[in-house]
This record gives sequence, C-alpha cells and structure tokens, in this order.
Amino acid sequence: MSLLTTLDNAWGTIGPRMQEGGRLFAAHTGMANALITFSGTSALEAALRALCAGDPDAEVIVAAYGDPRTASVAVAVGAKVVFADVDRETGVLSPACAAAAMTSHTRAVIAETASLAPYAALGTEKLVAWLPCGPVAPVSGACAAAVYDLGGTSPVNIGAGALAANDPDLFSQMFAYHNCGRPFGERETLSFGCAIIGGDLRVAEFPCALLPDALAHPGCGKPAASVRRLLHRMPVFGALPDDRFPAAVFVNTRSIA
Amino acid sequence: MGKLALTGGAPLRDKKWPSWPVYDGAEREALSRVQASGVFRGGNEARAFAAAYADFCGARCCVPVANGTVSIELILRALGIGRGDEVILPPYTFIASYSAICFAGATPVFADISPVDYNLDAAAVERVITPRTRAILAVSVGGRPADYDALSDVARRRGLALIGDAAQAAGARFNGTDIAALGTAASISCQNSKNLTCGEGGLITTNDEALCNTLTAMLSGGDAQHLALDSGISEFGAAILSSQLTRLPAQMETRSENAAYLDELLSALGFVAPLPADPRVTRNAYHLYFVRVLEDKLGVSRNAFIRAVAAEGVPITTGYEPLYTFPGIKEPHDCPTTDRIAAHEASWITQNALLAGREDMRDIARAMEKVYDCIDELREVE
Repeated sequence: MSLLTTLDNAWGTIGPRMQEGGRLFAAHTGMANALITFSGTSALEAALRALCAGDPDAEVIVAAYGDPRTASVAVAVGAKVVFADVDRETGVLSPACAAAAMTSHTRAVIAETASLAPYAALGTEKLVAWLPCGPVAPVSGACAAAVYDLGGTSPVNIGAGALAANDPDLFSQMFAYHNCGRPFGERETLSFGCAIIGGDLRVAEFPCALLPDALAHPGCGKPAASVRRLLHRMPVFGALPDDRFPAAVFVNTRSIA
Repeated sequence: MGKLALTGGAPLRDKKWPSWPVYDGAEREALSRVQASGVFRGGNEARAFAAAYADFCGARCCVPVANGTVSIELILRALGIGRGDEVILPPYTFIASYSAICFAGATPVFADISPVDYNLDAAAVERVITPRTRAILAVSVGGRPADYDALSDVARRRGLALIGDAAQAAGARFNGTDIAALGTAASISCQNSKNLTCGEGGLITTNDEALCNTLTAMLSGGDAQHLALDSGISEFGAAILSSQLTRLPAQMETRSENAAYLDELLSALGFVAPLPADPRVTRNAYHLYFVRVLEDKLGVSRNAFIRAVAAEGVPITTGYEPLYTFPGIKEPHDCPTTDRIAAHEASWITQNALLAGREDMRDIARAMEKVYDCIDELREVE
C-alpha cells in the first residue's frame, strides 16, 4: 500500500494502514499488540493514562537526567512526577534509585532503555520502556509497555509514535484512551459503552503508509545517538576526560551503536 | 410487503451521495513533496498553512496541531486552566469537547442548549457559573455559530475566557466575522469527516499574541514554564490542508445554496423543519444540516421516522446523545432542552450530501414525504 494510494481510502480515524501498521509494529517488536499514534509523547500519554487510571495520587518515576518529555507527559496526565537519579555508567535510570523512590502510589516507572532486565524487581507491570532514539526493535525484558518515538530523533522516522504491550486488557485501555474512549474496532460511533474518557491521540493514514519500508531499513534496530547518551567513556569519542564531556558535540546518526 | 423500504419496499433512491474527501493531483503532489523532503513534523508545510489559514479566517495567529481535541486541551493549558478550575460546555456535542477539559485537568460543567440553534444558552451558562469557573467552551454544533453576542457578554462580565469549539465550523461567520477570530481562541478539527480535512489534524486560532507564543513554546519542546507536548500537526496533514483550503470557499458556497433550498423544501412539509434562521449567522459552515423532527405532527417517534427515511436512501441519522448519558460521565446536569432535543427532535444530514445537486435535495424531501404518506405502515412496525 503506497503513500499515494492512501488518498483513495479513509485519510484518518483508525484506517487500514494504521491498523496494518499496528500489526506490523507488534510483530517487529515481538509484542502481542501495538498501535501507532500521532507522536511519541502521545503514545507515552496513552500508556500512562492507562497505568495511572483510578489513582488520583498516581506517581510516575522518571530519570532526573534524560528526555524532558517523560516528565511533561507524566504531569500532563495528572500524575505526580518523582525523579530518580541515573546510573553513571549507563546514563539511564538507576534501578536502585528507582526502587528507593517507589511508594504505594507508584503506577509507572519510565526507563529510557531497551534493556529492562535490571528493572525487573520494580515490578514489570509498572515498567515503561521509553525509546525516543530507538532502537525500534524488541525490548529485552518484560514491561507494561514499550513506547517509541518514530520522529526525527528515531532511526525510524515517519513523524509518529508507537506503543506496544503484551497484556490484552491493558492494551485495550491504552487503545481506548487514544481513540476517544472507543474500543478497538469502532471507528466513528457517536456513543459508546466504554467507561473510559479517552482523548484523540490518533495518527492519520499517511505516516503509517511509510512504516513498512521504514521498518525494513537495516538501521532501525540500532539506536540513534543523542547528547544524553554520549558518555565520556564511549570509544567513538576516544575516551574523553570527564571534564570535557559537557563540550561533546550532539550526534544523531544510525551508524553509532 | 409495504411501500416503505424499511418494510421491504423499494427505496426511493439508491444513487450514491458525493464521496468525501474530495481530492485530485494537487493532494498527490502534496504528499510526494513531503515524502521527498524527509521532514514529517515541524516543517515548512505547517508554517505555510498556518499563515494561509490565519489570512483566510482573519485571526492574528494560527497554530496547526494534531487534532481538534488536543487543540482544546492545549488552549486550556496555555491559559493556565487546569486542576481546580471549571469549564462550562454544552452536553449536546461530541465527547471530545468534554474529554479535552478532563485531559487538561479541569472540571467540565454542563449548561443547557438553546432550542433555537442547539448551542449553549447564555442564560443557562450564567446559572452554572461558580467562583471556580474559568472558561466557557462554546461549541458551534454542526457548523452553526454559537451566539457569540450573548456568550461574549457573559464572558466579559464574569471575567471568563471564551473558547470556541469550532470543530465542525471551519469558515463559519457570525456578524460577518469568522468565528476563528472571535473570543479568546478557537479550536477547529480537520478530522476525516470535517469540511476542511487532512484525515487527522486540528487548528488553534487566536488574536492573542501572548497565547500564541505560549502555544508555540509548548509545541517546540517546552521551556522552564511550559510542558513539552509533541502535538504539532504532521507535515503530510499540513500539506494536504493547504490544498484542501483552496477548495473550501466553493464547497461552502455549494453547501449554503443547497441548505437554503432544503430549508425551503422541508419548511413546506409541515412535519419537519429546519433550524430557525438568524441574520447574525452570516455563514453556517453546514458540517451537519439539522432537521427538526416534529413528533406531534407525525404521530410516530423521531427515531422511527428517521430510520424509515434513512432506509429510503437518505444519509440522515438521529445525532448525539447527551454526554451525561455516557457511562464514564458523572457530572450533574439540569438540561431539559438537551434531553428533549436529543431524544425527540434532532436529526442531521452530513456535509458531503450538501455537495450534491438540487435534484438530490428534492430526493431528501421526497423521501420524507413518502414516509409521511406511509405513516400508518410505519406505526405498525415502530
């Protein structure tokens, strides 16, 4: 299904390419279910709304150093943001610091990594892998949801976002939050029996038409790099001394693993 | 077998109605242009369309966004409206008007609609204002402008923001001014069915430059004061809209002409009626053409009548149920006009049918006449 032929079908509102894109993305990431949204933050929003539902005091743990959108979306869904420190070696959320920050109201823990095994003890039903720079590939370890930004910072750039989840009930809620409260399979009904008050996080058909080719690109399984991931000990920078780290140049390329 | 299509007779019409959206090589070229650029968000297409639409509607600023739901949410957030605040809205609208308020963290408060235009009734709005009220969300349902005179007066006297939910009202005018340039800000939907569409898209318009700057900050990665929310429109969407905008004036003209003819035809029937005219509505966008069903003249329920007319080949439906009837919505309400209209009176025909010809408008009237002539048959199966 080419980009131009999207004009001949519905242009939006859970069209055939969006649905196919979800199936393709689920298969690509090894998860049972996936949906494509209009941006990475909207995919993260769908995940957090489902995870935080029913708790007016919901807390979301995010790394104190990393993508500011994690905190923004947590605030946007009405959760309390709890910051936890990063691990100096990996540059991502420290499992130990996250564990120390957990309370009875913790509903989600956002880790900006595809390697989730270190976080298993936190409770995989709360864990959200946030991958703004990819890789667009299966995450390693169980989680409630894996959320991908498929925009300009990602190795798969179609100007959209995606989330993948295994639990069918949780995915169903995420879907409803993204589709005006309508469950999967209902496109344009005006009234629906679902009790979820959902928003509109839907993607149009046009970006979804790019997804098959984008996922076939050999670089999609590698993370793009960003200054937040440039650690002073990365070989590509020739083991820069610690005090030169802040001067490192921002790099965003698929060639750096 | 009866005469009605509903009971097995031949439908009055099986000819198709105009398909939607309308497009040609211009839209294909738009998509190809964006694909070749490799820029899919936050690029020149969005900027170009923002300028074009601001010029079209006369608002100082236009911010294209992902859809007409996040647009309302973003306006509220940019105005600092959220937890602890109340926003008044009508219950006769799509769920998005309500959910956007919830998503911004504010509390929706229902006020009744007017039987004249199915939009917010200003007196009803005043009755539900509390010290926590911060804004009025004035839906222009179906594309017919809300009563901006009365609502602006309430907003001004009570120190409230007046936000236009013009999701269905791109191009609508009140007292000669595009409603996108009225009030504090307006939100327009460019979803698949809308009169100006790109599949999924939305627009925020405002004359308030400070508000515009705040919105831009939120959509550009945030800053120390504002959340970072990637809710900008897709470049594909913006490119499509630039092309669609060139078609809109002629389409609006056709819809208005057909709506005026349909008003004439239906007014003559006696058992249905159009919404009353208002000279201040200088342009109705006619995303929905409302038909008032007069149950007392028919002797059958609105639902049965509309079901029968639809079976004759007319794209007509009974429309919204009040939002407070939805399972997840618990807010109190005192909206007797909404109750009556939603259950017994309102029906609508969608905008693409108004792009057909005069003969097609006559088919709509003929279908209703046929059902009326066979009303006894309909009563038996109601």
